Amino acid sequence: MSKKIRVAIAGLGNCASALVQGLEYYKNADENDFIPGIMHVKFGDYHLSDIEIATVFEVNTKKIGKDISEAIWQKPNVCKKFSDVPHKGIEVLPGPIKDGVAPHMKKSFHCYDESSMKAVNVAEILKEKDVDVLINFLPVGSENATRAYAQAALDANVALANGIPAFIASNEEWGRKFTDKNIPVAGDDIKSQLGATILHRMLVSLAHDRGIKMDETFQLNIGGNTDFENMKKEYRLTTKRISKTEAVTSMIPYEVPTRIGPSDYVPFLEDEKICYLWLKGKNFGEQPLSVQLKLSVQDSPNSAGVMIDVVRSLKIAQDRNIGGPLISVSSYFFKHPPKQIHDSQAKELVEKFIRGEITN
Amino acid sequence: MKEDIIKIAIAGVGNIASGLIQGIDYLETYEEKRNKLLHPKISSYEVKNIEIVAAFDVDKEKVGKDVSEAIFAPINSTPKFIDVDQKNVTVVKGPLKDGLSGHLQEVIKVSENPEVDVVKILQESGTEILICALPTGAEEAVKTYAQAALETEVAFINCTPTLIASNPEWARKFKKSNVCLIGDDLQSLAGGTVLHKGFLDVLKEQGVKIKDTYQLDVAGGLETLNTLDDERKQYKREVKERTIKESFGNDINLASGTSDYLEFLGNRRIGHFWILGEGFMDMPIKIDIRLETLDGPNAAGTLVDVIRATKLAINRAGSGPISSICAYGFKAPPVTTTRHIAHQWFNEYLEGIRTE
Repeated sequence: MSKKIRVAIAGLGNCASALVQGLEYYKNADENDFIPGIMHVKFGDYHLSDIEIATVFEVNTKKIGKDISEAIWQKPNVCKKFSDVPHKGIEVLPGPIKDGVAPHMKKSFHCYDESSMKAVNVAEILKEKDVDVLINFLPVGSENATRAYAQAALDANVALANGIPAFIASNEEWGRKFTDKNIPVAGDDIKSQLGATILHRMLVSLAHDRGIKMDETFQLNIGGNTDFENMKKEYRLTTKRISKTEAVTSMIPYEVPTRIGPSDYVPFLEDEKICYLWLKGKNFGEQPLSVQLKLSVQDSPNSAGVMIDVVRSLKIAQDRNIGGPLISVSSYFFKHPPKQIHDSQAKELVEKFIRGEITN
Repeated sequence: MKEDIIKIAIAGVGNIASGLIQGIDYLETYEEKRNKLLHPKISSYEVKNIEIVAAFDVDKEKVGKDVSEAIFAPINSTPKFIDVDQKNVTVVKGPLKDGLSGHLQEVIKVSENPEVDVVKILQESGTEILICALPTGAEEAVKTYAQAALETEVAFINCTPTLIASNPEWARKFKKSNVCLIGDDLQSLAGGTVLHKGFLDVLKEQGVKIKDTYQLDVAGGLETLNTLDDERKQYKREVKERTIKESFGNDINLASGTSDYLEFLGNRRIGHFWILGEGFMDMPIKIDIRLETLDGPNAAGTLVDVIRATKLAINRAGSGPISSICAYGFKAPPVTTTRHIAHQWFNEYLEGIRTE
C-alpha cells in the first residue's frame, strides 16, 4: 500500500508544530519495534510516513508566505524542537480570520490586516491540493471560524478532524451534514495521549468501580502557551469547560461537586502543562479517602500523538466509503464525542474499526 | 480591669470578622489554648481583652442583626468553632460605594436601610481601632473608612490590598493627625504567602538562585469569587508579586495568586507551590508542595496580634504607619523585609526596643 494521506491544517500553532516534527521524527519507524511515544506505527494499512502535509492555513503574518518547515518555529509557537524539519515546498496561506483571534490575542498572534491581505478560498485550495483530511487546530473559542472550515471541508469533499471544542461531530445538525454527504468527521476537542482528561476519567471510573462515594473533585490546569493565554478570558472557553467537564462527569452516574478547567496562564512554563487532580470521597464505613496527583507534560506533542491516529482512521473511513461522525474513533480520541464511551471499551472499538469489524 | 479593654470596630462582617470574633470567644472559653499562641500576651493584653463595639456591612442578611449572629450568615463560609455570646452590637449599614463587584452583586442583596454616618458611630461607640475587612477592590469604600478613622482619630488597620499604609499621602495624613495606621493586605498566619516567602528565603540564604516559582491557590470563600473579576485579580496579584520581587530580584520568573473559585471548597484554600532553583554547579533544585488551610481562622490568627500591638502603639502615642507591625502582619507593608526580620522587628517593638 503506497497511497499517501494528504492533510491540510487550519492553524499552524504548537499542535501543528508537534505534528509536523513528529512526521519527520518517526518517518522510518519500524512497525516490528517498540517505538516510544506512539500508539500505532501502522494504523490499518497506513504507516505514519504515509501522512503528508498538503497545505496550511494561518492568520499570523510571521508564518504566512513562509515554508512550513520555517513557519513552525515562529512566535508565538513554543513547542519544543525535537526534530529537524527539511524544506517542504509548502507555503503557509492566509486563512479566514472570523472569530479565530480574540481581541486580547491580536498582538500575540501577529494577525494579518484584512485591508491589506485577503484570505484564500479554503474549499478551492482543498480541491486543488487534492486534500484527503482537514485538521482543525484553531484556538479555543473559534466558533464561526471552525464552522467556515467545516463548511469548506463539506464543499470540497474532505474529511474533518476537529481538534477544538467548537462542536461539529457532536453537534446533531453538523453531524447530519457530514452524514448526508457521506464524508467522515471525527471530534470534538482532541484528547491528549496521556493528559489531564484521560487521567481524570480513569481515576473517577476506578473510584466508582471500587465503590467509592465521591464528595468532590477538581482538575486545575496551568500552562504558558497561547492556548492558555487565549483562555484567560472566560467567554472564550465556554465550550472548553463543557467539553472538559462532561468528559469526566459522564463517567459518574451521580452528581459530584466538580471544577475543571484551564485555571491559569503562567508564561514562563511555555509549552509545559501542569495539572493538579484532586478527588475526595468515602470508602468502607464511610471513612475518608483522598487522591492528589500532579501531571507535568509537554502540551503540544501530547495532542499530536493522538492526531496521527485520527487522520489515518478518517482515511480508512474514506477508503471504505463510510461517512458521518465516527463513533468509536471520536470517543477514544476526543473529549466531546457524539457518544461518551469508557476509554478501555472505546479502545477495543477502535481496534475493531481498524480491522473492519465495525463500520464506525 | 476596664482599662485593659481594646475597643474595636469592624468594617465588613465577612470571614475575617467571623474568624476574629469566634477566636476571641474561643480563647476566653478554652484557657488552656492561650499558651499555644505565638503571643499569649502583648504587653498586658490577652486576646480576650479585644472587644467589638461596632460593626458595618451592607448585606441585607447581616445589617440589623447582632454581630454574634451576623457572622454565621450563610454567605460566610468560616465554619463554626464555638457558640458566640450575644455581643449587643448591631451590624449597621455602612457606605456601599464600590464595595460589591459584578460577581458579588449576583450573590449579595444590599440592605435597604439608610447608610449610617461612620464618624458618628465610631465616636459614640468609643472605638479605638477600626479594622477594614472589605472585599478586594473596594477602593472608594476603603478610603471612606480610612477618612472616617482619620477624622475621629481612631487607629486604622487595613486588611484589604488597597494601598493606604503604603500610600505616602495617606501615611502623611495619619502621621500629621497623630493616628496609627497599619496595613496593607492582611497576611494569613500560616498561609501561602508566608510559606512561599519562607521557602524562598531559606533557599536564598543557602545560596540557591531561584529561577522559576509559582504559588497558585484555589478557594471557595466569597473573597475568591470577588477576585475572579479580571481587574481585581490582577491588582491583588501585582501587590503579592511586587513584595516577592523586592526580596528576590526582578529576573525571577514568578506567578503568585488565586487561580479559581471552587464553591464547594467552602472556607478551604488549597495552594500548589513550585520552585525551581539552581544550586552549586547549577544543580537543579525542585520543590513541589500542596498546602490546605482555612481562610477565616488563618487571617484572624494574624489579626489578634496586630490588634493588640496597635493598641500598644496607641498607648505609646504612635502616629502614621508603624512599620514593625505592618511588616509582621501584612503582604504590602510600607517597608518590606524578610519574614525572619519582620518577626524580630515585631518583638523588638513589643519590648520597646524599636519605636516604629
